[in-house]
Amino acid sequence: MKRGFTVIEVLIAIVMLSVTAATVFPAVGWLIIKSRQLVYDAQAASVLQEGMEASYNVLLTGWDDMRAGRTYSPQVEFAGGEQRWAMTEGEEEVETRFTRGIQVGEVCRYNETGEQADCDDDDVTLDPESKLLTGKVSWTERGEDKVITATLLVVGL
Amino acid sequence: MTMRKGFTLVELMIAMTLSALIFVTVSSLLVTILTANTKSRRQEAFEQVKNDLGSEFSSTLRWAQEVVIGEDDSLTVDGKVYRADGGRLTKDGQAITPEGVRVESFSVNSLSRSADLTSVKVEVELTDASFNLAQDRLVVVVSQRQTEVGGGP
Repeated sequence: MKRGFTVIEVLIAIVMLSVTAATVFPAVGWLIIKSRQLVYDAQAASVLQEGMEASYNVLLTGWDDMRAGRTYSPQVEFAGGEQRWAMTEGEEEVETRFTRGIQVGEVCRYNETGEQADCDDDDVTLDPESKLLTGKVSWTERGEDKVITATLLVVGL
Repeated sequence: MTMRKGFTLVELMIAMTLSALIFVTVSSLLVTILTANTKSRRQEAFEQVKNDLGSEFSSTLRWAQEVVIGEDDSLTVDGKVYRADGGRLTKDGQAITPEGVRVESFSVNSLSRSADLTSVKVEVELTDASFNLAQDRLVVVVSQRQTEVGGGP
């Protein structure tokens, strides 16, 4: 009877186990990172949507609350026992992780077609009834900078 | 030559220790996998509900003609009433959330600056119906769009 044979078997088993472990554990770690990323992405999208919706509401109440070329961040203010949106200038920190800013821009249109145009182009007119909102939410994730943006054309007739 | 019958004490102890080790590792791994599985299924149910409710409120509120926020935490959009009832969110009495997810609270706040157009923050707290420790929440902000000429600034 060869008694040394079992040692080889054990060695093979150990090698196979460690190979499996070495491939499975990084994969599990990657899955965990990925799922956390998805959670942050979803939160960021919700923060951005909140900003855009609030800005739309404030803009339609009056153009003067948000001036073109500036960046704002929506906040909830208490006025007369009621809560309502208010804009403060500059970017703000939301939920400790995200930085949010909503920029207001003028809208120019081609004189002939009425389509949206670059304000530096020829034959364009500034449209006083429209503003363009550009929202931006940025955050850092494992040392990497991430950003999502959204635009919304606000027409108040 | 003497024949060795059976194992020595040392061999037996090594074998027992090894099998105990393997047993502990495998069973703890199994428990981890099973817990992760339940967790992910629960998370999936939460995400599904949040997605459904998010798009429901976004699409109805955004283009609504009339939005009324009731005192009793109800929300009426164009005559359709949303309210939490018996752990489910209902729309005109019909449940729009599944049984496995419990709606703990449903609150609606008006944040509009404008008298004509609403801007509401809808907050829904969710827990797992069978296992109360797991929870999630949905916050969705929707501003009503201006659809009539003359309502702008």
